[in-house]
Amino acid sequence: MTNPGAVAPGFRLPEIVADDRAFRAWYDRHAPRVYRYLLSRCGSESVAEDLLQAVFMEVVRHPETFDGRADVLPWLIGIARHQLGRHYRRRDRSERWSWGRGVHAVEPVSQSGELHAARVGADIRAALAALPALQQAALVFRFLDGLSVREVADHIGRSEDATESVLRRARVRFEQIYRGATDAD
Amino acid sequence: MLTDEQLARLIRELETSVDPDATPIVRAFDRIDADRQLVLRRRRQPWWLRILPGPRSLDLGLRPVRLLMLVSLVVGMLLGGLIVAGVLRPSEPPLNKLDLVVRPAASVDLPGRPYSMAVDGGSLWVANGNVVSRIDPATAKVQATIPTGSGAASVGAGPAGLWVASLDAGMVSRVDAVTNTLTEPTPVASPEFLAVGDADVWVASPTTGRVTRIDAATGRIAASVLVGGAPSQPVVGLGSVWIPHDCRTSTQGPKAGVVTRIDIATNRVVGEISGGTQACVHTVVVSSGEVWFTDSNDGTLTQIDPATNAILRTLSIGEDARGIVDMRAGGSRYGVPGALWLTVNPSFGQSGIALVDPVAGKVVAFLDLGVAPQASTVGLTDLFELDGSVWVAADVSEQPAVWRIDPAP
Repeated sequence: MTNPGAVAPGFRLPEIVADDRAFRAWYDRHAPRVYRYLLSRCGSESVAEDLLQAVFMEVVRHPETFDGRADVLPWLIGIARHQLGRHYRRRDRSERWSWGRGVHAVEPVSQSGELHAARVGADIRAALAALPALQQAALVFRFLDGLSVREVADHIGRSEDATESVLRRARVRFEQIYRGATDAD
Repeated sequence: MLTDEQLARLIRELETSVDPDATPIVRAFDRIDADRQLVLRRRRQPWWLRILPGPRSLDLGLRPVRLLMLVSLVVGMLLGGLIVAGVLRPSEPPLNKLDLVVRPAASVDLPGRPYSMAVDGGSLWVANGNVVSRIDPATAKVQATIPTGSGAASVGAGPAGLWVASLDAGMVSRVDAVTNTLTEPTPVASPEFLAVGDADVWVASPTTGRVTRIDAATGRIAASVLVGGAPSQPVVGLGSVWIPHDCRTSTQGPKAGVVTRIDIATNRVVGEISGGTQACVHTVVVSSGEVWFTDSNDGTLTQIDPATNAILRTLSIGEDARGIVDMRAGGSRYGVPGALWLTVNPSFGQSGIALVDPVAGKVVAFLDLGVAPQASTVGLTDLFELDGSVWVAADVSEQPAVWRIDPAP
């Protein structure tokens, strides 16, 4: 089985971006993987769609930043992870501002019916969605992406100590909610 | 307690339980491709056209402005040629470096997050946490701390005096600046933001969607206007009260991105100006007969035509634009004249102040105040000019504060 992200010899991304048909084919090949990465982490089709758009717009604007590695997918996922971190930080700000004022933010965490997930996935998703944005981000980056605490800290814009603390609170809260949901079943 | 391995296994279920629908991928392509075509078109343009602002930065009057800028460019190049030839000498060196590192001349630590600022009687008043701090702007020392009860508070000053809204207490009170106490409380449901006019106090309640008018002379409610949405910090000017709606829900439904205009003479809503579906209006400023507002969601600065309530133009500033102060009169003391100053808080990178030339429609300088990206909760919010200095509310996680920026000596 061939690696879907592998690039052919002589591959030059700026030339792909400049060519209508080549870009469409390249997008069709890689967008589903990037979208799946985003959707599994943010749980909302609308948010994943927006982030997917942001990822490929970044590519379109700066194709020369592709470093010529053998596989383009990790590079795209890196951009997607950056966009995801940005999304979580925005939500964190919005939550802090709203909670400080005693009113909840409008932005939905997840919309029912958007995910065709198995029940177990739905329970995990629900438990994760009930966490504040930074705690969600920390769990996703640490346990789904397998990043180090330091890397997680970079993505959520906190110090390593603060990130450890976020992770501690996140896992306690996640477990409480998840166990509550599964016990209720 | 779950072990790391159990937790990882559980969370990895998210990856396997997702069955993505292809529609969003196809839908996203159309927008990406439109952007790609735009990028390619601009790349094919000659360099002197590429440096002019694109259609995303100026919405209205683009062609005349482009033409004007092109003419200015040609004239500039001609003048530049004359300067190089030694025929003309510039009076001062041009501003080449736009990023300016500025450190606050003074910082006043606050016990809570700064919510609003006002100037009255030569003092700076900052509503933060559950108190209002009175600050001597010259010494940057707290002169008095006035408790406002639990919950967030807001402070406002104007010809009708200095007033404070206490959210949880549900009271709007006048501040006695002699005794530093709250007097004449008027009950108002969920008062969260206020502005003070010539004879009245205007109080916005985001949870009820109402704006309440209090007669400052009697302390009685003179009118209650249902504006809907989540009205936030009102501003009095041009015979109207201008009320932004931020990105929150209220019992009256969302109205994010709208600025409501109330006619002071009739207490009626005379305009609802929409900044866009994704908008989240943060601050309105009325200055020199002009009305501007920032959008913290899409990072834009928008000008309203007060004669027609139409949007004149929208300038793209950067991420999370919040406070505004008009420094077109006093900006030359800081070396950058003719600018509106805006606090901006990008997700990645430094919070700071963007100096926007509204004529050119672009950011002409950025003041880096040394806010570490990870230190930010909300970031920099309100801005105020007082005695030639600019005060900035720093809602940062390490230490909430207000900072004073002084002109260069």
